[in-house]
Amino acid sequence: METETNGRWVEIARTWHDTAVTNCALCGRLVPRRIWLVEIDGAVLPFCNEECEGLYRSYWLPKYGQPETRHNVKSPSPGLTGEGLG
Amino acid sequence: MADGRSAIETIEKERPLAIDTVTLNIVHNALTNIASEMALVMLKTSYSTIFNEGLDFTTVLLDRHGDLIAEKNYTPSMMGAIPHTVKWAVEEKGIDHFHPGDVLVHNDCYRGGCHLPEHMMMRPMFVKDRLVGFAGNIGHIAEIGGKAPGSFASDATDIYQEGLRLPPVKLIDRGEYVEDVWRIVLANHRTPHNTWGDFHAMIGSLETAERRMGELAERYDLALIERATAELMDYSERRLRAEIRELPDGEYSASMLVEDDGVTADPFEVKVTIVIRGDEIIADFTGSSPQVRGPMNCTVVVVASAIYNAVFSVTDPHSTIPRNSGCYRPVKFIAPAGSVVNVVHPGPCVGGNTDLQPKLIDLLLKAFSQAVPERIAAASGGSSSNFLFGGIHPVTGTYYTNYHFDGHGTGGTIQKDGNNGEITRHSNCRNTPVEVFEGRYPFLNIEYRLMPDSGGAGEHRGGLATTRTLEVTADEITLSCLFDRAKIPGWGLFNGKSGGLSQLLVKRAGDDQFRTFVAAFNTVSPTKFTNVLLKRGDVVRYVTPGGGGYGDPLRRDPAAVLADVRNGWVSVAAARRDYGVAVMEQNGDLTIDDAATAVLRTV
Repeated sequence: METETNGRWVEIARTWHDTAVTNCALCGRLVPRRIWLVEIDGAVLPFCNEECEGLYRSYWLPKYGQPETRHNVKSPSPGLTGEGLG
Repeated sequence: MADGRSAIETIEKERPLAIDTVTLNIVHNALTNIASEMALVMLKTSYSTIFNEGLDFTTVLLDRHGDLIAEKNYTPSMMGAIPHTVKWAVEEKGIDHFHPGDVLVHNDCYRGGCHLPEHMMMRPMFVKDRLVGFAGNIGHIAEIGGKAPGSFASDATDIYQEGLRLPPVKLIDRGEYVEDVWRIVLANHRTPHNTWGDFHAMIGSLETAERRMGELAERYDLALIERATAELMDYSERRLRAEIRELPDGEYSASMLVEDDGVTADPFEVKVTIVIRGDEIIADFTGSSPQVRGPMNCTVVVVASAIYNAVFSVTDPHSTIPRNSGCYRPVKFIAPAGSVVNVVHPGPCVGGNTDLQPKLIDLLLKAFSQAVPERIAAASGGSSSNFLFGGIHPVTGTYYTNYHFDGHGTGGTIQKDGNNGEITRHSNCRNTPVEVFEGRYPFLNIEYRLMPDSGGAGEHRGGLATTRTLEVTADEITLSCLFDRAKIPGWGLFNGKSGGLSQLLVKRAGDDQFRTFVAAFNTVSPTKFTNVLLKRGDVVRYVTPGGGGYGDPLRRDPAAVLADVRNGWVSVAAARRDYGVAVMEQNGDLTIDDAATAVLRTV
């Protein structure tokens, strides 16, 4: 990846009775356990891995704009808010 | 290629296989045969018609990392779930969670499920106490509770109305039933007898896989099998990348409106941009509508299925590339969470799998048509035409439910007309024969035929829809339906015309005419409704949607139009109006009026 990243791997620590899930900020896939957290323009975004971060920076951001407009909806998923992250 | 060699030959020359081709083929075929035998076990031992007649299931083998190594994919709609769902469950639970004899089940739509009825089961495969991989299957359980018999609530506004949701949990622990989980499942399904039988068909299929894998490991060294499967995945990846590289680079966009979500009458929009960059493809759904209130949302693996389906249709239509995790690597996608193509909690999604997915495939192909028009079909009917019912059976006195679907028309292509009465391309299922249908359920089939004039006009005509008329022969039947394309038809391509619309009508006992369900039962949608109570003597008639036409209909061979008229597939009026072909009766036969046709086609 050409851009220097500030990403870090974080283990999602949830109790067995926590039903929240986390989705990748780019592709939308479930991230079941290990998450690649990256701060971009002040927002902390959860990705599947460095590859999704790379595509976000190289394709999505130049095409669509800033992170706060990356989706056309506010997701009700608690996972997207980072709830439950260790 | 400029030097006359195929792209594949070039690749193999540049990077020879690590294992000889014969061994690789033997291992590949052995694994594929195991997956096929797993499917046979499910087909032969299941209780529900959706398994043993409809074939609405898929079986897979995965390596110990959760990567797909072989499959028997009866149902392409599960293609996106296969490379994700088992792997995610393994990651979530942790590898230490799995022991010999375990079976996990899950249908959680937010954790890799297609929609709630589709249940994934997985079993770790051990050979001499060593974990060598996982066997998995995904099957549509015909009844899983929720607000509607058949678990297809077209007006559901959240997941809890759609049935019992199971996160990954053990059904069998070290070979022993986990009775508490079974009790919960069986208490919440309306037809627990069928669930018991179908679950055991799935479990038996997994046991067969582990047994056969053990036998394979006795014939071949395990290390060789693992090297071969890794090589097969790399091979598939290289093959698909080579095919993608042959496509013209660029960005190709398309959008469509879907007519309603079953809860409101408002349409919603899906947008896609296909980006072809060298040997990779990105399918980007950014800008699609927020997830809708009703059950027309897709889960992320459903949109993945649609993408893989479209990509493989374009790049490898004859399925010569071994389907394993390798061929998913060059395909990236963007499906924003919280949008109609990636539902998040608590959004409902039962119809997203059956009725948005086929339209997503059509939409992706529409985008691809700008790059490779010669490889693309016009839109299909795009609806599974889900017809679900249940009640107390008048003969047996027991509770029954059934999930039924019928064929629609597929789109015309540059080479040929669309297919008539074919089950949607993403499901690839069979419909239930009339004899089996009537033998099990209290409906009398009055009529079942192709629908005239339902195929979109074109140089290559769209495939015809089907129509069926059924009379209720029990005191009561509770009916739920989820059809689509009753308002917005499937499109034609390159001046081809749209396919016919779907329709659902009812004639109540004592009434003298068919009416819409909106008129007869005050439903919001004419084709999406839940728990309508039909009485003995009521008659339901439905028409599935037709396929779009390909190319200008005025370029269609008049002889082909005449053949369609003789078959009863195109009316004399439509032949004249849509194709500019004047058909007349002469000496008791239908023939072409050449002079009139020349005038019509000149105008």
